[in-house]
Amino acid sequence: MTKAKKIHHFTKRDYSAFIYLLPWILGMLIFQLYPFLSSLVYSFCNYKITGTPEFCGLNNYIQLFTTDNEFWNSLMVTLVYTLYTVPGKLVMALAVAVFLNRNIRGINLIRTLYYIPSLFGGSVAVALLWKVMFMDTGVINSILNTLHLPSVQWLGDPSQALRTICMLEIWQFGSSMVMFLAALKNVPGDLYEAAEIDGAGKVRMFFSITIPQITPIIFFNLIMQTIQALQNFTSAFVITDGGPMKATYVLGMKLYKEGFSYFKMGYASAISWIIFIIIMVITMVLFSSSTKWVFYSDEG
Amino acid sequence: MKKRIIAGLLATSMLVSLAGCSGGGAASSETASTAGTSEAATSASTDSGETVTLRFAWWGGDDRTNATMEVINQFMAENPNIKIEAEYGSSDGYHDKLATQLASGTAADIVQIDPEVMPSFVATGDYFLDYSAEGFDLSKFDPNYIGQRINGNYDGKQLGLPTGIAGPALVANADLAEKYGIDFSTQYTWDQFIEWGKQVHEADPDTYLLCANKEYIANLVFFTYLKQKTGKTLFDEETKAFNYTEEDIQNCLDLIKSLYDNNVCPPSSYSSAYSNDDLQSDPNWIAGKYVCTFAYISTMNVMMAANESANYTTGQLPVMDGAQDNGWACNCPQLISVTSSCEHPEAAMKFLDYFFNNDEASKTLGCVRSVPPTEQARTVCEADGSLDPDMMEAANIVTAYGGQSNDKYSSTPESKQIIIDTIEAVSYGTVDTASAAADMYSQLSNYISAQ
Repeated sequence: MTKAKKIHHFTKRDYSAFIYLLPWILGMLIFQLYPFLSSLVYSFCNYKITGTPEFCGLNNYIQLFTTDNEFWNSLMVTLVYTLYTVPGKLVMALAVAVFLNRNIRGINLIRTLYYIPSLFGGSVAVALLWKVMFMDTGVINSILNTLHLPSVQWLGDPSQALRTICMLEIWQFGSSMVMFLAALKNVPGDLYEAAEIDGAGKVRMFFSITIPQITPIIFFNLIMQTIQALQNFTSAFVITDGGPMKATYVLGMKLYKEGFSYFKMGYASAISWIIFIIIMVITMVLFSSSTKWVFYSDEG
Repeated sequence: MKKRIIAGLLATSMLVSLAGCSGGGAASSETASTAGTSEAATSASTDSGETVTLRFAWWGGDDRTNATMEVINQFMAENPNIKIEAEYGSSDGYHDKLATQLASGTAADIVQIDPEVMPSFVATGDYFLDYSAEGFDLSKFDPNYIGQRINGNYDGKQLGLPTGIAGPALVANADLAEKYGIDFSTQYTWDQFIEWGKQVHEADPDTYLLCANKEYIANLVFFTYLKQKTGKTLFDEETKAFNYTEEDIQNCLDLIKSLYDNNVCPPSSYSSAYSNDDLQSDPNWIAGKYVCTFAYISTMNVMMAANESANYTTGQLPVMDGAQDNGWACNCPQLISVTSSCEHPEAAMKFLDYFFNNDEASKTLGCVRSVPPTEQARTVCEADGSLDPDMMEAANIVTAYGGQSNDKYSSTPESKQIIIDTIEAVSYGTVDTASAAADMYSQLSNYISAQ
């Protein structure tokens, strides 16, 4: 490529593209990159939100790892939450996608219905609804009692509360499901035909053809859901406020409490960077493992 | 390979955008909970130099909001050159948002503040104007009352004004109390209170003596009992020394444990669904299955309104034999302050003069922020019939107790959270009171040493 040809690329039209991109670029710089970098700086500072930041070196990190027992509890709760919700959501999404991947009457309506919970996403209203449903005197216990089953302390029992929150997350499987559905439709039909001729059953075809064919989407969903689960906040905040007995006190909750209740922004920034590093490490591990189990058709 | 690269880029961008803004998630839900605020309201629309716009932020229920809006409208009708924009909503996340706004200089001109949160703002910046320096007419306030730190006076500067006289109150279901032969009108001890609790729950396993959650137990039992026992507050404000021994704390935790163990109050696993200021939503309270609750004067009418079929009264609060201090302290429900970022302090002071000192405003506001703070306003409300007799009686009772207010370190959210968490652990029975006291002592020592 010659120099003249390179210069030729920067015509007036190219610049105009940047103008169209400007709102996004500015938004990214101001609302994402700037907070991202400033939180790194603050994580090394003793910074009360209404005061001025004072540099304190690694103190926040040292305190988190050495004297703050709550941090270790939060980390454990977050990891357990992730271990419950990510596989749960993926299995649920895939199962429903397989069920919906057929041509029956009204299938579009059924698909929409299954997707609705995801539209509500991390909304406060849905979390509140969940809270009311799962209270001791809520509708779920009323149903159990009608069936002559004993009431369950869905939110008041420390050993049960996290599972209740996980159920909300798993229930919102719609976006993963839509992607699985698209991937299932892209699996070449001739593979199934060939397998059928060879005498393979439905289960064998599912595990030997469907699953390998959709591994890129499984991988994509796995990464995205893991990142999302490690950052959970809304459900724990709205439904249980991190309790009872800190059983749902995920790292997002701890970050919020330290930052916005105790106004310790430097400490909260350190927590956010630890969450970031954990997410990055887990993502890298997943990426490096992907060479062993993800099948890309263009790699033949 | 290309797909893998694209997938990698997508994941990285999501990771950066979400991890970097982890706090953003918090902020957005908090904003949602303070519905009704005009976020984009701008102050200082002083384009022509004639019309001044002020922003006034508060939290509260419908009654408070409607009465405050009416006062604003009355004032604007009299002062057409001053426009007041209301920013109201729930108390959830109110102070989180206010802290962020104070730090960024975007707080409303006039703000309502929890007196227990105020010290953490005052300690970290010069965020509020001194009413005295601005020439505000304070003559209608009792100087002894507004001279206290809890009522807005910091080192001689009147940085906030109390919106009323408040404090703890006993709200009792008179019919149930009579049914069980409980008399709250004369002084009784904690031991007597526990005996009543046992008696009530034994007579009817669905009924409890006290409606309370862990936050109320911390705020109203823990602090009060220890003040009664030792005559001191948790920390010494001057030296930051711990005023209680581990044994004192254990003693108090034993009392709290006996409240739960003897079914004086419902188990934590039940009350956790109605945490913080949500006691009035407890279906058992609504159904009249509690004999009483320790409430706050400013919100006792909310508790009473939750069950209109019951006949509520107020009464005395428990005090131990040989108490060093009565413990039950009168304070104010909220402070109203003018922020330093206010560009038109004279207009803000003019409005607040109307808000606090005008008879018409006093009549309109009635008891929406507890018993009014000035004698004049109380007289006006009494004559008008808008002074709630139960609130007034509760205010008289707690004023008569005259206990000490909490020190500024023990009432911060961080310190309170340590206490609440310990109480929760004791109530669930996952830890014995001796270990819980040792743990609380160590955590509070760490906390105070960082102040």
